[in-house]
Amino acid sequence: MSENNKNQLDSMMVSRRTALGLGLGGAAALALAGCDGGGQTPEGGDDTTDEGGEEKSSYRVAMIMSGIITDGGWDQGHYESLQRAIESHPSWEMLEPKENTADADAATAAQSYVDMDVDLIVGNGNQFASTWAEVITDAAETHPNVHFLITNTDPELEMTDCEVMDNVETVLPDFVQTGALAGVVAGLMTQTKSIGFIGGMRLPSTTTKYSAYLAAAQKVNEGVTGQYNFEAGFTDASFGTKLTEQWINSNNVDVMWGDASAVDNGARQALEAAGADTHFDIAQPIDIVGEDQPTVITSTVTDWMIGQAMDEIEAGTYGGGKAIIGNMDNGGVYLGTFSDKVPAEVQEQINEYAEQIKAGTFITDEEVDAIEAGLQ
Amino acid sequence: MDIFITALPTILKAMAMGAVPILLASLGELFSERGGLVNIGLEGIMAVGAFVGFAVAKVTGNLWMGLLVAMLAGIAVNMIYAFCTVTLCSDQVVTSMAINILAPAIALFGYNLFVGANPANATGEQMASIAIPGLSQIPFIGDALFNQTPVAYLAFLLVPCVAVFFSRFRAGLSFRSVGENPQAAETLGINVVRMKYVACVVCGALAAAGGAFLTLCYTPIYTDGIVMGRGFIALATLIFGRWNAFGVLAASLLFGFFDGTSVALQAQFQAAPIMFFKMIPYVFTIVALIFFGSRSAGPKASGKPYLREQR
Repeated sequence: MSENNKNQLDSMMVSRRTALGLGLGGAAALALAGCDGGGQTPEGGDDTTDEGGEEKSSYRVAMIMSGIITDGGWDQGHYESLQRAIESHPSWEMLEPKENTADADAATAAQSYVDMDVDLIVGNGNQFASTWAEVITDAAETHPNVHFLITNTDPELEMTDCEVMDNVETVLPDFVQTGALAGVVAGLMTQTKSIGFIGGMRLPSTTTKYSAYLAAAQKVNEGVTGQYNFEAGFTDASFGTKLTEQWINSNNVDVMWGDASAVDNGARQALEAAGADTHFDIAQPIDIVGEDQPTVITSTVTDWMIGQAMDEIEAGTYGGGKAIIGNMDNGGVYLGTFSDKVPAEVQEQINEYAEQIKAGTFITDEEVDAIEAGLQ
Repeated sequence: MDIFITALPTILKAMAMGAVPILLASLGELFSERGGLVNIGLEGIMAVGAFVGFAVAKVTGNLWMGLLVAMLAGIAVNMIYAFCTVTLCSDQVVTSMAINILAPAIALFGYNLFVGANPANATGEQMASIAIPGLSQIPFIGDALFNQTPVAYLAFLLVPCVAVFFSRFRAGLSFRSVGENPQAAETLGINVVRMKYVACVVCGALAAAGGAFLTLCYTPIYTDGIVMGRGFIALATLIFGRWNAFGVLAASLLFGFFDGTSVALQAQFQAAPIMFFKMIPYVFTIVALIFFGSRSAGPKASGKPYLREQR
């Protein structure tokens, strides 16, 4: 065998090894990605429905999310809402949530639950409105007992791709109430009359929340100014730290409200470094007040109304592309517990204002719109 | 201009803090490339380091233990790369890309197990800063530059150590010869394969330390995607720094400065298009690579598989 041939043979052997190594590595990566909370329960619940449409004795619900259930924000809030709904609906069984679902995989994930005849499939966020359009339309014909619930979505504006709406509803929290609750707290707690807000993405819901937040703060404390960033993303905690530090140093911000999951954690670090007794954070969308969060004084909590969707499915009234509005009347929006850094008299004031917000007499849509119109 | 001066201390602080993880990963890559191995899997190794550091520090309550175990985890992950590229002579770029997919998945899987079982684990421990007496009182720059965490000080001290190692120590010169011409190095009695494995050990440890810095010193949480492209920026800073420890330091600080500036601009000009400001550090990176990106200054054998019998 010539030297050249030997070398060629050697390089071929290396290629095979390389291919084997890469193949094993790729398979391991895919297996781990698959293990990542994406486990599904293959066996169904005690589905006793017959084709004739008799009342069912058990139902199944699945949740699909782009993040993870322990993100301390958006998806954790949805998961906790689902847990509350399950606790109050004993005939419902929760399948393992499907976490870290990329947009490209969202339709496949939903279709897998459709194939399992899951009664309710919840999508955490408006990105599912477009990615599920075809699945929803097909399922309406082939699996009429499967229902879809998409959160944070305005059906009239964001579900135009969906041809059939018989089997789908959406959830829309009252963003003005949410923002106003946070604004009242911020307005009463700020000593510097300077408050901040971080949003993960510039969505209509984000700008409305901020506008109501600032309007409410200015109503209870004249002269309050607001700093905002609507495009902070949802993962870079260090950005939240740097941005908040900048606002503290340059604008004397002493109260923050965040809508950006992990970025909010970073903001809390900057507040803590500046002094946890003088710099405060209002958390969202879950209640996280506690000793391990020294700057958090309260939380604006959102419940995603999954329980109401379950009730409608049981009653056979679900669908038609309705939007379930979560507000202070039905428990969709509320303030969490207060930390002891909020004085008792301030807590009383907040509760009084909260009643006005609930009654719709605190701020008007015009006041909120006026601020929103000024945001570029 | 007034806005810039007001924001300068915060920008400098962001610069110093932001430079550390990039610097550590970049110094690790310096060892790897000096040993003839291009490892673009820094992003993945940093993710593992960030998670392991976070989890171990939380469980033990010892931040240094978190850092140490994170470095060991980084070495373990990089040994996959080392085995594939040094022993099996697989393509270095393809293998390290596989590491970039595999390692964050491992980290996220571990995080879900760790925090899913106990939500109280979501917030970890954070290392306190230590102000250097006197220096930290210097107006404008004192607090920004001389009030850092011990890990940051160690990272900056590592720079002259690495520079001296590669220029004055026999082992450092051996590293360089392996990266330039491994066949010639072998004829001089240098065990090339062992050198490459050592390079991978150092690279894995330092990149993971860079990741651990994010969760132990920056913010005490772990999130999927926390590394945010810093592993790739570290590769760019190595090229911009001309494969030189001090050059890498300068490039890391410059990137940190532009990163801090982009945040300051976002904070001050809220009505302006935020995405424009976010682009600044990356535009700088591309511009720097255009002017300094020639690989001719780098190790000649970097990226090429080494077959002992091949001439």
